Amino acid sequence: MVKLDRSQIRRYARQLLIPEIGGRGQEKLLEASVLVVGAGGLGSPVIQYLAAAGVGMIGIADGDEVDETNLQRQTIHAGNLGMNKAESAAQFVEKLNPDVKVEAYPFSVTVENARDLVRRYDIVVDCTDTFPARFLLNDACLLESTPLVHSAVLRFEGQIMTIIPHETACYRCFLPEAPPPGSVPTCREAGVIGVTTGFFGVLQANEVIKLIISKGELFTNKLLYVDLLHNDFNLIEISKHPSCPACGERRIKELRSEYYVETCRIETD
Amino acid sequence: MSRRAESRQIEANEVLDIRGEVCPFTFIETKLKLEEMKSGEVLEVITDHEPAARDVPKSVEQEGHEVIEVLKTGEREWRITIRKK
Amino acid sequence: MKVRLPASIYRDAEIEIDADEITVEELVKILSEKIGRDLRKLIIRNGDLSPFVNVFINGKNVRHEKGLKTIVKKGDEVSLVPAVAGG
Repeated sequence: MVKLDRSQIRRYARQLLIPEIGGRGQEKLLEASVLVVGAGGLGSPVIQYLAAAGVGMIGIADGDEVDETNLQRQTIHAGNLGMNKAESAAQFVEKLNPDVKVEAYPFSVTVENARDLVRRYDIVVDCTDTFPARFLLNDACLLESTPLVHSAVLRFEGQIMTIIPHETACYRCFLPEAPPPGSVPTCREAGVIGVTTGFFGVLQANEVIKLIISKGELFTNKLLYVDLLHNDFNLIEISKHPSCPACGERRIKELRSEYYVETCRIETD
Repeated sequence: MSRRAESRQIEANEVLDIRGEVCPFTFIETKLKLEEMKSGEVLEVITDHEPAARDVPKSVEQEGHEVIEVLKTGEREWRITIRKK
Repeated sequence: MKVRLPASIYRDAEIEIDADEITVEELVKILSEKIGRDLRKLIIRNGDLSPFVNVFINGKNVRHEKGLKTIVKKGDEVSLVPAVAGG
């Protein structure tokens, strides 16, 4: 168990005062490890708030580089145009909170490396931007029994859902397979605004904190779909389904590259 | 002095000397110490910050602990005795 | 029954449909006529529920029931949730 020192008591004073956190909760946060996959629109607030709260170990995976079109929503990459996003995010964390050990993975999560990366962390946060990456993380987290906090956004809309493998509904219970490529617009095509990624990223960070301190309620077996343009909040029940191709009776046994192309369908033998 | 002698009847399990600390850290330090202790154990807090002598007892009571005694033990020194809930 | 559509599908978030008991497929047809936009192309693919829109009745995904043949009753709340993947 870590023991808070003088400077940590000062840094975390405001949250130490919260009954649900206190010293024990803070120690849990400092001992936790979280993998954030994607250091873009969602990843920025997730990384920022987890680092600020004192999550002891943050892994950041992203193979992209910071470009000018990212800056209206990706708020942690100031001054780092052209730099790898994982490395840029790691710099931000180091400046913000020296308590946090940060590991940058300057590459994409793939079928080959997903399980190995996921296995090193207590919790995974899905801040990716494609269906294949989302299905891959869902399936890797199921295989490694690692909790996953999912979110996805477009324009003023987004969704969030937390998955406790084999206990609560998984991403494939909600969406068994991906829409055919090209049928659903991406942020690149249809747009997104920083407040949307900010809103959902903060909700993701909040889910992670609650998972670590084991307090409060989670978005498990439910999905929150919000239209921020019309302030329309929908909490939708999602049930863990016996015929889910990933976590159901014929659950996934390994990651195969053919599961993450086109519609990401899992063909069960 | 008689009060002091009287209060000594309650044996403290832990003593927390936070002289030099000011609010809100006086309460935070007290709260963190209480978290480490077992239910029913007694904590003695020594402070030289007058507002803490008023506010720390109030805050620990809000968290459900019992404030046994607040004693002025010196010109600028107070002792707060708390029983953990 | 009340149908809630996200802004990316239709600008009015909530639409009231007056029917006692219909299938999701019939609901989609009535809804399309009501809003003047053919939602069938979006919701139905190869005669089945499209994979990229999820239809929920009182919080339950019809994909886990009888898909397009699932019955919607008077007073039910139906939500359409498009699949989004941006981040």
